Amino acid sequence: MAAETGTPTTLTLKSNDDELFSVAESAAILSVTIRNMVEDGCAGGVIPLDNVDGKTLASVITYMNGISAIPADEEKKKSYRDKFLSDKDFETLADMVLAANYLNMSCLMDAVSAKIAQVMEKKSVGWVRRKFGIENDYTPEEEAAVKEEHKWTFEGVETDDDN
Amino acid sequence: MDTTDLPLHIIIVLLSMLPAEALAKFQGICKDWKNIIREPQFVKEPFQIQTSKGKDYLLYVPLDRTNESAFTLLCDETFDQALEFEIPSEFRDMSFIIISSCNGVMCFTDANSFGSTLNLCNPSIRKYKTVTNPIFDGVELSYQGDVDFALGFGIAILSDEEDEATSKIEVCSMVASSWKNLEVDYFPWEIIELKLEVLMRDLVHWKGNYRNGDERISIILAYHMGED
Repeated sequence: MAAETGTPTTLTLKSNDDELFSVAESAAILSVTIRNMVEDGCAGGVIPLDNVDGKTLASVITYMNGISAIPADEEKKKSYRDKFLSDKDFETLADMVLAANYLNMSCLMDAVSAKIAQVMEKKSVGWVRRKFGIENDYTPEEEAAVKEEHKWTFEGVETDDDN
Repeated sequence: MDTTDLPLHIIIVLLSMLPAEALAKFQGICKDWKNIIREPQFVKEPFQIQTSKGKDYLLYVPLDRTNESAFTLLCDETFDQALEFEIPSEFRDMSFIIISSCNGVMCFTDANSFGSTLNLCNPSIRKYKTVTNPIFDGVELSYQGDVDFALGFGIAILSDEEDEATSKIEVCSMVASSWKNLEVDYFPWEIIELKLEVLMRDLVHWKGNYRNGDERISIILAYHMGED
């Protein structure tokens, strides 16, 4: 491994749409999935990541490099994560939570989940259904009853123009 | 992608990070989401997240309710107002004694008729429930009566479906807090200090005194709510 030679080892990651990315092993092993491959000696050539597309993987690698450059300072890491996620739209966040889950990166997973929850919180039921691709399986009567029970929760719901 | 297709375990993680208000609203998304949100185990998880963040609140109860008619929750670190909620009109004239709160549900009673009516309220989802005249061993509790009693309040998650339906008091916590008959064959404890109960792991604990000859021994009484 890298530590023995003293020179940083670089890994090559391949997205499911065949884009190749080089990343320092020390940053890539933030992913427990990748770390296990490295430890098992399966990381010699190209590491295929079948569940992550190139756009998302590029973003995840930016995060890996950014966060691993910060020394052990939780405050600074947190502010980096907040900044990193601040300009991401819902679709990107959803792709990233899937990637973080697949790559087993708990710090990214927690941060992205919290960000999605924060985005969802004030949204309408219709917005969430659309974004999550969920079909409404209530009958009109059932839906009216659920709404009636929680009438007050519809105060302060944002308009749905924002995507 | 246009729509996401997130696996169930990620949906559960996301929901566990939402406040109670949003959870109440999102029960309207679809039946699956409603079932997740109403699942007792799910309620425990966000609660654990909240406690691990160490968020505590102070409840401000206005004494003169002619001018102020809302409870206010204050964050105990910054004293910022976290939430304000209206006191239902039927409670406005009451002298509150807050008995306890647990998992965000608050239990209070009227000082003038201690114990004869108990009110439960969950401020974050604005649900109230009144339990009138709880009866213990056939004796109606009232402040004027001869019966010494203490009140405890807590939450037990019941797995028994039937029980759950009758004692469920609010939407997203499956809370069993009915005031059940507690029959004790031998009750040598003389004084139980009111309002000193502590809840830990489904057990209500009271401080009590046990008279043994002339000696007074302080003891802790525990009552398991899940298996009475």
